[in-house]
Amino acid sequence: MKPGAILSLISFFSVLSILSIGGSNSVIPEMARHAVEVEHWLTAAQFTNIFAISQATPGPSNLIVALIGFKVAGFWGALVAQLAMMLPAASLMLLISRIWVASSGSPWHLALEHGLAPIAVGLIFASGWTIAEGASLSTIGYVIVAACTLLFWKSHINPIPIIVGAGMLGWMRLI
Amino acid sequence: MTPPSCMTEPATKPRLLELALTFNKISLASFGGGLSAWARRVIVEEKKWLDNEEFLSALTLSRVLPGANQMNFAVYVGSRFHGFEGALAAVLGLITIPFLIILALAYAYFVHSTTPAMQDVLHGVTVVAIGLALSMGLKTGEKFLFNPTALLFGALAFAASVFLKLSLIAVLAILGPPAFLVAWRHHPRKKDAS
Repeated sequence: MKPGAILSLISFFSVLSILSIGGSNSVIPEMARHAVEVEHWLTAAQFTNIFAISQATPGPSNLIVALIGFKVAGFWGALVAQLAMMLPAASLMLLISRIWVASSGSPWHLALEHGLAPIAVGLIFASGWTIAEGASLSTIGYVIVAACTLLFWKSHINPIPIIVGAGMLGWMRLI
Repeated sequence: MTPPSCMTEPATKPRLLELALTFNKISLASFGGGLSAWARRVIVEEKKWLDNEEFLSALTLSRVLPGANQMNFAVYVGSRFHGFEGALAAVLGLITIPFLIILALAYAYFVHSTTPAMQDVLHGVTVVAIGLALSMGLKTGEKFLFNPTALLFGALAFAASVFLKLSLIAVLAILGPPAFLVAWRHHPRKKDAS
């Protein structure tokens, strides 16, 4: 174990945790700048590769942090970096969740819940749209998107086999 | 903490192990982070732990506050039923297996310098993820179809995000107050059974 490296992982990622408003991907540029240019933990090409690896791995979007931690200090680096990225934000979320649940039934809670629901729906559509824009889909891709949308909307089919199948089609470069 | 009686309670309160296993199931089927369509399917439709409106408000909280959206959502659901222990169980369920997978990939990449064909697999998976997101929009939004105010706010949020490229925080800061005031004026006394 490298105590100095472990400490710099903790100090950087625990601050980044609180800054990651809107999800971990919002701090990717800062993460890249610090890890590549300031600390020289890894090269720019390695950062691009581990970003792709973390995106394709099931689970929360902040797993890229474990990959950086692993490069810096092996298993303990991965564990410590991941915990530093999780704990501050999760503690804040725990506090706000308890206030939100405790206030349920109060007029302001209900007005917030009713008022923000359609905005949340609009933003869900926007996230689908934005991902589609960035994915440079082929015609077959669009057909599959439309079919999946209809299928998941109108049926209770389990999406996991379809996700696995689509991953395999992508792997064979058929989509 | 006992939630007030008006919050719709599920038939059975999940046990800690069930929370952990459920969030493990959710995390293993979600790629690229952020997409919560699968979480909604499991939590709202299968388990019936949250109703549609509470899901949407929990999702908005999870997205606005710092941290990975999925992890924040696990904290919300876990703590809703079992306080700190529930949040811990849900988060451990969410993170443990993906963390082990990422360790194996880190080993493969940094020690053996193998780059798996991640980009290609991810591209295929993304196509389904877009379908999941759009279908979730349809499922959560279809009841607003004949509600002009809700349609207006939904459309404005979509346009502000997609065409004006405003951040989530900016969209909520601009549209949140008027939406809150309109809902406040209607003075809802109890939740719609949805």
